[in-house]
Amino acid sequence: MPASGWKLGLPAAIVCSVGAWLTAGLLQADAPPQKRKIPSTSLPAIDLGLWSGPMSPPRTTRVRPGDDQRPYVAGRVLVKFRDGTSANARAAALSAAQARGSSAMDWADFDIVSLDPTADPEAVARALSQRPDVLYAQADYIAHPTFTPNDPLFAQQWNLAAQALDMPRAWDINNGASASIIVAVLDTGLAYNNEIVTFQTRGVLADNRVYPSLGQIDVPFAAAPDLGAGRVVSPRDFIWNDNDPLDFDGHGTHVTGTIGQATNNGVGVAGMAFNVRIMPLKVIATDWDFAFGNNNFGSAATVAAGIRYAVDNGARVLNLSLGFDGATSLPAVEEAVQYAVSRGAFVSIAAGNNFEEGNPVEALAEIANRVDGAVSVAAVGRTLQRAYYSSRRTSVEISAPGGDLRADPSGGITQQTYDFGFSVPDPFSAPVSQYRAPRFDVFRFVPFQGTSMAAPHVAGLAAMLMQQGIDNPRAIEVAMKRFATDRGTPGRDDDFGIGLINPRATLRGLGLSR
Amino acid sequence: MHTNTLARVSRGSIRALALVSALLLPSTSFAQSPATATTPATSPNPTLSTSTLSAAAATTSSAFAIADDTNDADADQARGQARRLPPTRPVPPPPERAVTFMGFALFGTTSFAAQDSFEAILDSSSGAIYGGGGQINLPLNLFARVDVSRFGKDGTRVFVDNGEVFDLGIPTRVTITPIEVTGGYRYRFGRRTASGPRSPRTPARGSRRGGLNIAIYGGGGIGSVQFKETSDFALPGEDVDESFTSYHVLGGVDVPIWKWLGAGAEFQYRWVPDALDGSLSGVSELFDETDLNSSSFRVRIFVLF
Repeated sequence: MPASGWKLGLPAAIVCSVGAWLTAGLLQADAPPQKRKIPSTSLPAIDLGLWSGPMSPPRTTRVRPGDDQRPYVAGRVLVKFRDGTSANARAAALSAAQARGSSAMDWADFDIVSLDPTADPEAVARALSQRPDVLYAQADYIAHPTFTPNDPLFAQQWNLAAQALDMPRAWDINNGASASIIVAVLDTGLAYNNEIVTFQTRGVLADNRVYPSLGQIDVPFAAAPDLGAGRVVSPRDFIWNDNDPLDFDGHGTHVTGTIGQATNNGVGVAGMAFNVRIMPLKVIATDWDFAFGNNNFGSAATVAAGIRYAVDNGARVLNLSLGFDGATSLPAVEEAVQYAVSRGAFVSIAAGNNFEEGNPVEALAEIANRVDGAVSVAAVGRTLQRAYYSSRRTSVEISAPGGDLRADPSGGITQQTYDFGFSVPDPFSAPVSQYRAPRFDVFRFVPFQGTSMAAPHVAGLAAMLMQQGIDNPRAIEVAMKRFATDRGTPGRDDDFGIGLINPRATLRGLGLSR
Repeated sequence: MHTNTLARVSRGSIRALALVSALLLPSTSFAQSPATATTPATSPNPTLSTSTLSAAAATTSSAFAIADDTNDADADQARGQARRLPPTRPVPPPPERAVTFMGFALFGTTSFAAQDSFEAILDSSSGAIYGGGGQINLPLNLFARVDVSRFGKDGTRVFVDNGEVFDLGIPTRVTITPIEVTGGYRYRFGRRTASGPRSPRTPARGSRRGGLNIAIYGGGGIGSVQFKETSDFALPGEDVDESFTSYHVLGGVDVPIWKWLGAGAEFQYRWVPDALDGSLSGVSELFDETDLNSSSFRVRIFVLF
């Protein structure tokens, strides 16, 4: 399965399509690039559940404290004596336990017995429990709140589990940010509206295959059921130049889910910063955009415009799970990124998926490396090793789970997006006989892989850090790097950058001495 | 004339007058008391001056010995003429106890040298301390002391970048508990006590035990500083509870308040090297503040036992 990462520029299918459109116009005249919505019509989304591809059984584990991380308070046990136990009997019991003394605390009906700090409280408690005059004795185990979402597929999200990002403990500190934080997702759009849109399609010549016009079709759209209502703010479509950035692909919807999927709602999966508001900005054109008659490309211009739009409309975090094939310099985009950071917005950028394609320069990731407050994100798989596709370059700054389905068929990043049996995100790769109108109202929970999936983890963490109090994008980058878990070669390396993000440690910050 | 009048008063009157004089006369009179006490035996002047008598009565037991040794017959003789007092051996001061003990409570304020680190976490690099201890006053004006004090303050965890502090709102509590042993020199001024001039017959308690004088002292010592830092959301092993060796110097003054009760004020500087360094790395690492040094102003309320 190819890595999921959108490349602006000239994807093969589009090249062919454009060529066909320009040279022939043989099949049908191009339709006006407008969406025609059918008023007062909306259809409910169809949620088909988890993708039926190979998935391993849940493998969530909990970190077991080691010897140096004792789960109890050293040097004491809690003891409750039976009623009527004499002072002498109590003293004898405590003496047998080699206790240093005992005390009681308000509102408690037990004694706190002091021990030698090196003593094993569990063993002492067991010994005390054997005495007839002791009702119970226990080590003073350390309590901590734990938020584990009830989303039924959370158990399959290894990327959020203890062995990777340990998000339940991070959510104990920061419960998924808040609605005051707006995260802009510059991508293929978002499945956020229930509507039916009428398109005038055109024929496409791709790879020497002629895909005929489908005529005027009504395409159903629905909001992703697991995203939750009322999450979207200031949507904008820079391909169709309107305010309805519908996702014709599913990539943007998947990425958005990783950032802010509704969590603990008893549905599907969890997201990183599940309380943020989402600003979907469509800056990437897909095959269906072209088939629906739109001639615009997602380009440096649309991305630069989208970045400025996001910041000017209140976004504090921007996610760019995209890249530019062949570009070595993107000054317009770089200025936009600098503008975003200067306005207090953090920018998360995918590091690139082309390691096996010659590991070329990733111009956008290079920008992140030059701008404090923007980071380029490499991908790791389930084993926390570099994903096979993840670019190895000096521009890599940090790592996050992006999935590696080659190393582990269950090692993708699972989020809700379209059921590709209906939406057909790559329509011109299928035989012409299977070419048909798509529908964007049928959803699945699908495992993706790519640095596109890694970047939204960082964006979600940035949103949580913003809400926690680090409101300076440069400081967010510094904090993420400071608390990152080193991977690979000690120190920074081209595989992982500084290391794997550590949300809990980053959110917890620094004390006086630790 | 004045001398004659004095010679005719009774023993009790002499004693009362001596006490009054002691209160009224300048302290320089006290300083000459030992010499005055021997004056009758050695001085060529056969008369007693007012100052010598009163000073003697007020300041030394030998002066009282003079009055006490003057029986009624002698008084009758004195009515007729001035006479040379019989030679007397100077009576030494009652031996002060070689060792005295003091217990004290202390409170005050302390200020940490790791100013940026403490201000980042606790909003202030200083705070109140309280504690207590015991002191033993030794011969040769030496003393030894053991005390424990405590500093505790609530703050929040932070992140620091380029000198800018970001409050993360996670409660944290810092507790610093030094246990220290101090040795030093303690110099007591004068002989006044809280209850007034000291009398060998009815000595003030403190006076009898030789402790409650105005005193200045200085010393130094060693200790152990327990440093605890606990935070919300800490996993086992993440909170800090470590002890470090400390060194300190101090100096201060004690003043009597009443009988066996006194108060003192002192300044202390404590070195706790590398307490914020090593395996630990909090904001102190960012600010390059590795020591837990502090300066304290402390008030002591003490009781002489």
